[in-house]
Amino acid sequence: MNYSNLVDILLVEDNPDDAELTLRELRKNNMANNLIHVEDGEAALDFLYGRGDYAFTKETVGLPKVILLDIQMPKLNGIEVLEKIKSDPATKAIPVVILTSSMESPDIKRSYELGANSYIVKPVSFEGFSTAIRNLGFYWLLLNHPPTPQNL
Amino acid sequence: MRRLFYRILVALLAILLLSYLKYKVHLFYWGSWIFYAISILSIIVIAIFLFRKKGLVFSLTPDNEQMFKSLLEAAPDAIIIINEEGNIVFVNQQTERLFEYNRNELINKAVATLIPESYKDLQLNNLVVSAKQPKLRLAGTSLELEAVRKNGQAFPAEISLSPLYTHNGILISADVRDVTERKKAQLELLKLNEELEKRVEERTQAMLRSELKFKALVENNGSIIALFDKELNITYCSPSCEHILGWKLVGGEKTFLLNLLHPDDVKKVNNVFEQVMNNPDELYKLSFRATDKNGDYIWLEGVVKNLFHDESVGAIITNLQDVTEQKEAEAKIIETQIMLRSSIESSQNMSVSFVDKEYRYRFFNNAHKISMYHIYDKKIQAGDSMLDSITLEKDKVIAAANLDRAFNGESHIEIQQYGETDRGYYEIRFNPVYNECNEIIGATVFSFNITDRILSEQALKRNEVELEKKVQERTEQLEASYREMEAFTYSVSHDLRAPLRGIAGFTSILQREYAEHLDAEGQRIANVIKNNTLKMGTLIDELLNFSRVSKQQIVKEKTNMGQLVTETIESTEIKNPNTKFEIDKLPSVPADVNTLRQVWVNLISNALKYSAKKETPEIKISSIENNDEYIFSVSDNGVGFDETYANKLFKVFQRLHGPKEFEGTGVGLAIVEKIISKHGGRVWASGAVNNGATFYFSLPKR
Repeated sequence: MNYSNLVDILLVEDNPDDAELTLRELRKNNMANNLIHVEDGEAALDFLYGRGDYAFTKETVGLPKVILLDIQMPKLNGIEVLEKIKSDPATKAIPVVILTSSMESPDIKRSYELGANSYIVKPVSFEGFSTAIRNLGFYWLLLNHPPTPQNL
Repeated sequence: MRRLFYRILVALLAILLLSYLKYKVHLFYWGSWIFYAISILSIIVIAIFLFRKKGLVFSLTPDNEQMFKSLLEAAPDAIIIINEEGNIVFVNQQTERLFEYNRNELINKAVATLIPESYKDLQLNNLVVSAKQPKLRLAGTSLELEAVRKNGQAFPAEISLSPLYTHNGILISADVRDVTERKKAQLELLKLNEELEKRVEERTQAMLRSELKFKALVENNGSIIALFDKELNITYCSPSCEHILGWKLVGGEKTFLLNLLHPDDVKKVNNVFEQVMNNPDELYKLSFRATDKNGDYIWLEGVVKNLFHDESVGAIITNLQDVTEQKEAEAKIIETQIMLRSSIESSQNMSVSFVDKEYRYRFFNNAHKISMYHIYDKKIQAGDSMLDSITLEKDKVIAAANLDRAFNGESHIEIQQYGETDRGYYEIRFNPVYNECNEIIGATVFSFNITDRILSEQALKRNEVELEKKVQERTEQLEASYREMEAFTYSVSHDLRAPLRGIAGFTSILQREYAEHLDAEGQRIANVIKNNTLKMGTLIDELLNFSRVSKQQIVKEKTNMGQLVTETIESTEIKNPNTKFEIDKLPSVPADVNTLRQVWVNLISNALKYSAKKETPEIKISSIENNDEYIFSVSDNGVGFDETYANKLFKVFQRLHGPKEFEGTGVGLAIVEKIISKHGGRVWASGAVNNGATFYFSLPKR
């Protein structure tokens, strides 16, 4: 396995507004430097497995420290992506944070069952949202130890 | 002795002659009487003398001595001649043999030698008597005594004694016969006689006992045994008579038979008795009714026989039994049979038949006949084979199998189809029929045409199936639409939130990063925008909540309401610090914990909200219980509501207060209503404007 620390966060989010708000917040907290944003599940998997459009990147950028994963997405939805990620030995160690509007308990249950590391509901209020994002960034990028060793 | 007699005789005759001669002239003198008397006397004497001496008056002269000696020697018996002194003067050969003496040993010996000790006195006496008064002893009237032989052996002897007149004096001849054998024989005879006597006695006893036994039998017999004479009077009647009929028949009131009879039976009985009289020794049957003492009629049945010719009976003998009960039972049976028969015959719907083990009809009712004609075009007759009357092969096979099972002892019911020209459903009951020996002789077949029933059942079933299908379809539709709705609400909530977030978010960014371009008014407007998005967010959440509640299954468990309420209050924000809670002891009831929690949250937060403006808000929570349910109430002393609009309270989005007065979405109570109605309970409220409100909900006990 070739791990590099070039990618911190893989943001999988289809809604451009939500994506923008998220990015803004992260940037504000200097956590968006090594961020890859994909807009659907398929692209996420392409990135993780170094195929399709991302055929060349895997070798160079490696795997992210954390994946922020929305559920409601076209083509491949978040749950399916989660399932894929967590069942593949190559990727299952990567922490996945479900970041979604859905407060539905089936979604929550299913996500944890599939091995999600955290489940965050996007609040409507912006304050709430920005606090959540900030906390996320701090936690997963600074506090938490990723499974991927830092290449020194 | 004889000479003396002669002399007396002569003397008398002389006297007679002399007296006659002397006094012949004076015949009628008193002396003549003497004369006559003496003469008669003498004649008598002579006569006696003459007659007495007949027979054994015998003189032993030298002439006849030898003859006698020979006779004596040849005699078969022992003859001993004894003289007056009791000494033996002569014995014959036989004596020697009998007594085992030599004659020389006996001659001149006392005869006592030959007499055993015990008899000596007696015999001697006899001898003396005999000698003195010689009597003629005929054979068979001799003395039976004992004699003793030389060796001392005594033996029974028959002795005849006869006097012998000799010129030497009187001798006694004793004829001695050894009667040992005879005695023995006599004893035997006696014994035999005794035996015989005994046997006869025994036989007699036996006969007596037998007789007694028979008597007892007759007397104790349950049947009436009676004897009649030629005029039909009762001459004997066993005790049972009295028991059964109550009359004392012989010599009593009802001796004449015909008086006892039921009038209808008189002729019949007379006929029988006539035949009986004309046919002795023939057994005839009798059956008639007789009156008993109570006036009821008793049925008697039995036999009668003419036994006049039999000496030991000499009467007409009858043996009768009380068969009243049987007759009554018979009558009942016949009655029942008639009833049964007619009901079987008259039944239109019930086809009845009875077949023997060769499947042949022993009986069938009209209904069966019609049915067979109808479905097989067959006219059946008694004796026909039921199987052969079934024209359709497959029906025949089934019928045979059914009958065979019945012939094996199995009672069973079948529902099958039969018929060629007209096919229908039949419910048929097969039952084996037993005879008295408990063997199966056939089977009864009861058949009901249930075609109509079956057809309607089938129609019903089809309907049911149709219905099921329809229900199934409808359910699927419902489920489908439900799932649609779910998906709808799910995506709606998600899709609605996202833009809201966008609005709120970007407005915030505007406020924050473009603050220098916004004046106070601009900021205020931006806040208004944000507030609205928040509101909308809340609304969406509540709606989602509501829909979640709607689809949720409630699980009832024993729930401690008191605890639930306490928890709710603790976790609710209480704005007014003066708020007072009064909580009654609340029971534990069967309810779904999570949703009930929601109910309490909603009701209590409502109560708090609408009474917050009061100085001292008071909230009272209590409950009451009746037969079927628990009723809980939450009342506050807040602004209350107009009861006119009470029906709108629990509807979605319906509010009775505007948002300026109290914030809220109008979904809270709708949720409460939904939850409670899912529990099978009811919600209602009462209140008055500015006078508080009380909200009630009930929960059923089961």
